[in-house]
Amino acid sequence: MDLPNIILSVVYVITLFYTVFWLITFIDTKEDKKHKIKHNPLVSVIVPAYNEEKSIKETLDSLIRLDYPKERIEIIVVNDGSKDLTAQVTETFISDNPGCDIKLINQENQGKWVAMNNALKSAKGEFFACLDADSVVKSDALKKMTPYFEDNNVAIVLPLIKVKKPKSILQRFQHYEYIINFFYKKIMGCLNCIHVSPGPFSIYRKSVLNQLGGFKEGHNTEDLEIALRVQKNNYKIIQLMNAEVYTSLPGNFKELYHQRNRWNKGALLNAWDYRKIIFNKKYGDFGMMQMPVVICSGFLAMTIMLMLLYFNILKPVLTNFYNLSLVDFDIMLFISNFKFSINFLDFNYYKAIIMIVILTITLIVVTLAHKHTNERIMKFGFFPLVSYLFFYYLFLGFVWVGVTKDLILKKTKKW
Amino acid sequence: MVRELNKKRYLIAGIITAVIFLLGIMLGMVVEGQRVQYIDKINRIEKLDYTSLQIQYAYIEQLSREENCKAVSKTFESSVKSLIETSERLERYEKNANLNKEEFKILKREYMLAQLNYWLLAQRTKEICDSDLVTILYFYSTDKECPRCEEQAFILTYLKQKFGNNLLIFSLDSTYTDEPMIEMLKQQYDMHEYPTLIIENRKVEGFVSKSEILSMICKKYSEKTSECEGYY
Repeated sequence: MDLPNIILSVVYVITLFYTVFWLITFIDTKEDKKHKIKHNPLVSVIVPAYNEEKSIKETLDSLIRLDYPKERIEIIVVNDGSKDLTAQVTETFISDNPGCDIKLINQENQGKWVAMNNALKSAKGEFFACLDADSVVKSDALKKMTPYFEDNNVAIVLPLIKVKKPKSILQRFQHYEYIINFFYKKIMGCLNCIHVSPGPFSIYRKSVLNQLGGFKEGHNTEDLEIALRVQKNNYKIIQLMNAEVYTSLPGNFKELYHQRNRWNKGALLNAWDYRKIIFNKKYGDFGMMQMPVVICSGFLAMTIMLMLLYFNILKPVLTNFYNLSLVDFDIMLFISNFKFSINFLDFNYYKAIIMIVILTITLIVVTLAHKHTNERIMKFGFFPLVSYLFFYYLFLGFVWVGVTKDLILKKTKKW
Repeated sequence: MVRELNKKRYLIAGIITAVIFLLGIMLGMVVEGQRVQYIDKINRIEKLDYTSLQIQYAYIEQLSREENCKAVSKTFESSVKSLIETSERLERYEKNANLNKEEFKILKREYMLAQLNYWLLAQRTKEICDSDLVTILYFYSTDKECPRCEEQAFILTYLKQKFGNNLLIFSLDSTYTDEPMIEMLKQQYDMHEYPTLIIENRKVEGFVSKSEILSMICKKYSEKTSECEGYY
């Protein structure tokens, strides 16, 4: 075997090992006991908004329709220097709903993390929920989430995020991505290894937030930074699968690329900032397994993508093109002499076995993920699912090429 | 809160991964074994074909039965074709083989000898039956020593498709030192670099382009064909 094949094999074995480990963990973990609601704690819901005049009303609507005592919810909209009518729409909403405790804070455009800290200062609730203004929460979500704070070690409870009305093929692609990702996050929750608390309706214990000093800029991904800080201080983050939030997604490729570039760069840089946790036995599975995965997975995806592209597409195309130039591009001769013959012994069994293993594991994961997120696999038919399965790795690799490029360019600029 | 490290789970995951990996290797061994058997089986039939052909030519020669030439030539053509196809397949299998290297090596030796047999037989066909044939011996070497071997092979495949049964190309691995016949040919033709082509007893060393080969082989054909237009 030559070097590229050895590298690919090593990457495959590592991936296989992790997948098996995660599946064992999932099977091994017992369902949590039913949490009963003892009381309804006061919850402050923060809606940071920047130019969200179109979607904020729907977001606020979903909040006042929450199945939770109205007097136990405080809603704080932080207008982060919007240039549109976000403030006016919010004010109208407040006057239309006099029975609800809704406040509007206006600040200059300083970013989401500043908006959240401003809200944190004036929030009265025992718990602090954040809801991006492009998301809508299901009415029973809050009721299902608060009981999990019974355990005093729990600092953050996360809902299941689903895609709001996926229409385009790109959004349906993301629909599958979210389902698989949240299944993965559920397993990470079982291992106490969640490393991100996303914007749509993550609920924080306010005392922990204050103790840790609120939100930080965190390389433009404050939701990653806070989760890592919570983990570093040995608090728990819990992922629920029955409390649902619906979020809007990038509809075009450019937006999606920029979003993912920001997320992955943030994950890498924040993980690097907390590098003392990596391979630190004190942090258990989080230090020994999850942090290395956060740092390495993107580069592994990129390696696989680049190698597969080069060896399966670029190299054969170039070689064939060059070879054909040696015979004056007499392609017709090859076509007219082409004979189709199949012999099963001619298959490259090495590749075939890898394909079979990957396909089997993928099917298991996809089936389990759909089962536990209460979705039908064929919801959008065959095409979006297949395109997700085949092109997701490619897309991820593409994003990581961008991330790597940005990091290298930034480094050289500093010097 | 004290953090856990689930050592037992990592161990189980490691064992399952290893089991899947070993199953893969075992499956690979089975497939490779099948390949060896498959080639072996074809090999036996091809050996019989060869013996039969030899007898047929001897029969024609001794009894001057030239009217049988047409039928024998046909058998010859189809035998050579099947031999070359199997050799190519063997070459591919050997490249991917990880486990049964030795057995593939033995098979390869048999196939190189078979090709040389047919190369010699082709001379006889020409003498006895006046077949309009051109033979090329193609000596290649492993990729590193011979960066242009793949290109040369591509051109030869192309020409083979162009001329069909009138052009016989036998490819031989010059690095196969276990076979004295290869060494003998290398010495006789004084070969130093690869690829080397022996076009009807004439040696050409180094990479040869399509038009160069065409101009050399076209001179050898007694009948004029459309493939050779512009190369006489």
